[in-house]
Amino acid sequence: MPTRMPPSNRIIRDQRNFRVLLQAMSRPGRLFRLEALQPFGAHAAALAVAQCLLDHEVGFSTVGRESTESFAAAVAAATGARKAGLPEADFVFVAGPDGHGAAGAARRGSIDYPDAGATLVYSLDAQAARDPGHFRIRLSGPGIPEEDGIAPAMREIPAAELQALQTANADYPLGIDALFVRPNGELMALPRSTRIRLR
Amino acid sequence: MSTVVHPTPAPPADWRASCAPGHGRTSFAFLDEGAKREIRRRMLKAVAIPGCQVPFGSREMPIARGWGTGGLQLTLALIGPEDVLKVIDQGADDSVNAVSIRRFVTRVTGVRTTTDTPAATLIQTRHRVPEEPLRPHQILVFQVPIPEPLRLVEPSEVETRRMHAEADYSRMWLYLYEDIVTYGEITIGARYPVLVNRRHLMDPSPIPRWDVARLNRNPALMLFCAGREKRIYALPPHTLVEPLEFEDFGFRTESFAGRRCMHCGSTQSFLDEIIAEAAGRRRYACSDSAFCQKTRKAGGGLTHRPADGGRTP
Repeated sequence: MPTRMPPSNRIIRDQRNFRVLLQAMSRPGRLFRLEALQPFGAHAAALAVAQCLLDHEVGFSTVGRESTESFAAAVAAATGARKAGLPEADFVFVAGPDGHGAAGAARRGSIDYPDAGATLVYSLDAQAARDPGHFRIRLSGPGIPEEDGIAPAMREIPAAELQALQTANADYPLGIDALFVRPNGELMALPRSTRIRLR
Repeated sequence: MSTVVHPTPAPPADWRASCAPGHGRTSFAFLDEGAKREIRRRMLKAVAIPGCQVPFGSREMPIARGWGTGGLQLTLALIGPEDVLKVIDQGADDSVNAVSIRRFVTRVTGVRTTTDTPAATLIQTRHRVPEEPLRPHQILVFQVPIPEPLRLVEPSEVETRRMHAEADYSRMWLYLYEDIVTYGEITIGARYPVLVNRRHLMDPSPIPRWDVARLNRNPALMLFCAGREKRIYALPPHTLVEPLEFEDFGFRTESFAGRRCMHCGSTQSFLDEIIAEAAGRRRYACSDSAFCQKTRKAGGGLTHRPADGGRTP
């Protein structure tokens, strides 16, 4: 008769973080909280996402500031995932709210298999200012019960970046799915099914 | 806006300590972590594209394919020590399939189980949606035998992929039309095709039409998995789900007008027909056994919203 092994803390943390990711993806634009990996400072939450989802079967890419090189090394060491070019990567880790064109260059899947589109993980700064254009943004679609849409819970994301996501997802179901994380573990998801309107 | 926190009960005190040493041990929740990660990645993509079938590497399970291996793999990739699990088979908590899966998951995780729908955080189901309304923090996992709604009209997977890519569902519409011309009725009972988010045609698994109407804008997350066919798909909460219907020939649910459950007397639940062979009489009983027992305890007074969304003529 099989019995169960005592699970390690990492197994339980990954499971809890996955459930948070799943809830966030099911309820776009709302705020959830991941259990972040504390020693990793600004990238703690992004690394928690990497540990939960990445392994040797997937390729990842990093975009943004110089510090992402050490982050890329940390991801590769913690997960065994391979580094890939931006157009081939399954996961793209972006430093800062500005995507540096990652949304336009990432893989959007094929017409037969739209699920092959990339997942973008944006690491936001702890003290980022609110974007002045945030009040113009409305999100609607699956997971959002409000008929007239909602404003995204994270207000520091530049309107230009949301516009880039909107453009990348214009040919739904082709597109990319975005996760935004703060260093304290706060998380917001914008899957490609979410309609982003700028008023 | 404050962080969304769903109330989760504390895990049982002994869930970690109760793991016995010895031979034949499995990892927590049976699947290895690599398998779980792959299923989790595919699940997130399925949620991001509601109704789209996402392929995954279905693993060998200790039950035969066709007996719920898809649903079981999702449950095992989802479940954690805080979860409270409910497993139903065509509405019943006590049928062999439900009991076996519930016992297996308990053995490899140590989680608590329940038959009470509102008390569960994770519900694995074969071919029914529980009668009691689901709540936002709950996840409903469906076992799916045939994930492709177009298989009825097209045997080739390559061709059905193309049809989904182009949203070309004309042959399905034609099938329904021919059904009406030939029989005066759409003859699809279970597995009634639905359009999700105005884009993807989806097989809702062999749930009765009664339940199809209840998928629309449901507050709970619904995940579907076919283990044999290696496909995952999902309905996020509050997603638009429309059964295919014509302007002059609407979608209709099963009618139980004038019938009631022989145990609890309910006239608002999906009823199973039971034929008493000796007397040759037809009798009816609630398909959802937990709902039936609850109604009986409450003296037949349990009410809930109409299951058919008011669409039955």
